Amino acid sequence: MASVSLKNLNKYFGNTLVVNNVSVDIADGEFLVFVGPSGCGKTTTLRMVAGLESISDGEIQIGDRTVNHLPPGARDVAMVFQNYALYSHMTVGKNLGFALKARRFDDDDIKKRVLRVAKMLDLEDMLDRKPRQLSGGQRQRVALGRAIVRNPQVFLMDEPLSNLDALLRLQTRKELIELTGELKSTVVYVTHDQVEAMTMGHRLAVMNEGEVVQLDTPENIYKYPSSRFVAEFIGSPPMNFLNMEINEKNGNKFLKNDSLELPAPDSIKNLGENAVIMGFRPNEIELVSQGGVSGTVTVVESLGAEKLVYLKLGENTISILVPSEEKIKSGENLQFSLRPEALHLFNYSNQSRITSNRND
Amino acid sequence: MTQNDFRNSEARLGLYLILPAVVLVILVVILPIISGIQISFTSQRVVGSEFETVGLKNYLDLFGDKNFIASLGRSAVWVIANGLFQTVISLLIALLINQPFRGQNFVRTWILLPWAVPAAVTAILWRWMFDATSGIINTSMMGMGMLEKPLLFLANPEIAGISLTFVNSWRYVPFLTIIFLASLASVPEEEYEAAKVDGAGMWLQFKSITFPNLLPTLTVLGLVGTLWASNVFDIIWMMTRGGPGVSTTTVPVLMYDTAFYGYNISKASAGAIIFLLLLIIFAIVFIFLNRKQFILANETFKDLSK
Repeated sequence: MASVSLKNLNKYFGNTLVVNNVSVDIADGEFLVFVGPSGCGKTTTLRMVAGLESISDGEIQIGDRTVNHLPPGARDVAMVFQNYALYSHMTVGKNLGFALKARRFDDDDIKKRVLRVAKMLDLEDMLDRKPRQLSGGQRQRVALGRAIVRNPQVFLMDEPLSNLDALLRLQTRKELIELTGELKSTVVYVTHDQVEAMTMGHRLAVMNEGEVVQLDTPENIYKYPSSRFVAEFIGSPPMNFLNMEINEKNGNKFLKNDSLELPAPDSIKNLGENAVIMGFRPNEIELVSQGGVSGTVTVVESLGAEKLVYLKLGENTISILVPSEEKIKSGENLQFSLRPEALHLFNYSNQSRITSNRND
Repeated sequence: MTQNDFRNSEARLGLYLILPAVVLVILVVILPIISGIQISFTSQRVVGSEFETVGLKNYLDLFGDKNFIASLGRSAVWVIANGLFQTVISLLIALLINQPFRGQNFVRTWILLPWAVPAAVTAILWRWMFDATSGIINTSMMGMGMLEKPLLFLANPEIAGISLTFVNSWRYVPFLTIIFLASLASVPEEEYEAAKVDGAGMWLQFKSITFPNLLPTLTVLGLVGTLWASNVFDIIWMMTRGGPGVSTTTVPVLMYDTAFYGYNISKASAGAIIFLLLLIIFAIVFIFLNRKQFILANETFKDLSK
């Protein structure tokens, strides 16, 4: 396995900049996830690493080799495609062994390696089948096996779980985490699914409009999102946002909108603005019987263990998560308290984070 | 309206829609064949003349006729030569213009032109170009010093067949190219990408992805192309009349000659029927041996029409 280093990568399609100055250093054995909404440039970035897209500007290193001008086959990377891209006219066995055949391994060696991988992925009984005779989950395992059999420097995975149904996706996700952990693989993984990203990645590179907007561990990204975009994209159900005015009374600053008023945290005491975006996660509130922020329940969605409750606060609607034991009906009035630590404050004009809840 | 009624009315509409085609096929294909079979059992010399029924005499005569047997052989050589040459050339052209390049759409459209040119025009055009004294091929090759004396493309029995094969291929290659292009378009791009990442070179990609995907199309074209090539008459007749000597006399040419210059329409009919039976047998055996590919081809064309 090897490290991967992307330095100031740019990609133009015609005049459109789809990957904008992306720089990420991926350590040997790291599982790095590019996550972002569709069209954010994550797949294009991955394809540049694979060599399937040319690089408009910048540099890609795998190990200590610059691979910019190497063809895909010479980069020693293996790719798992979203639609698996199995060779439809070859049996499972031939699919698994194809890359080895292309690299002129001898037949006995190919057979041995294919069998080992087939055993690992529970595909032994299917070696003679054609891809169209397999279920979605089996195809996915063949695609994975085809990558593993080569023992490549880096695994590139382009939304490999998105074509599986929900239950199988969970199971495969777990297996993939175990497998890549055992193999100590360097993995570059692309997904639009933030849950997948959070559960699998050692680090996430959150992308938006061609740029990496935050690169950090899942925990840090969740706790300290660098912008309103990241805060909204990571975490489910998504964070609530309220536009607040900054008011001053008797020398103390307050955050205020049409329905609530809170003492301003220290971090904005010296901020030269008169408005701020305040965010808080639906699960980081506490229901109280009195003295809290008050709103009217509009919709109650039962999620099993919890209830997602939509509340009308003046002009705004927010959502909160409450234990399912709470008896809540729509139309009812509800009060909750917001702990100061749970607040995320973002600059009103450029939407970047202003509070720092970190102790540093 | 119940579902059954609906299905019936839909079926009836379908029937009405294919009726004109069925009538046309009966009038211009089935009836002439039946009439040909009838004539082949008689002694009729020209259309409208008196005749008597002679049973299998024409057939038995033909089996002893060296000219006929030789023309069957020439037809076989003609079909194989045309088939191989056209398939290889059109596949190469298709692979070439399937690569992205500027003006691709223009080339894809206009490459069909030779196929759209009427056979008579093609024949005259190439006779002109093949001409020994004023033809562009001989004059330019001699001008460049590649030839000392003109090549008799159509008058030399050893190369007339090759010249005709070339002209006939010139006509059909564009059409085959378009079919191959359509078939290439149905090969999933991702399989090539996977192969590239897997380290496969051009040849391995062709062998393991392109070729297996083209096989159903190749098989269908193998059948259709054989039947088309077998029945080529216009180009040969208009360029060499089967000559020089009998060097380019295939079965259709011989039968036309027998019927309208030898004034023996019943013998010609018998020959045509024998040829038809041979082609039918060939088609049945071919389809049986390649039944798997035909099923796949059916799926491919269904995919393409989506």
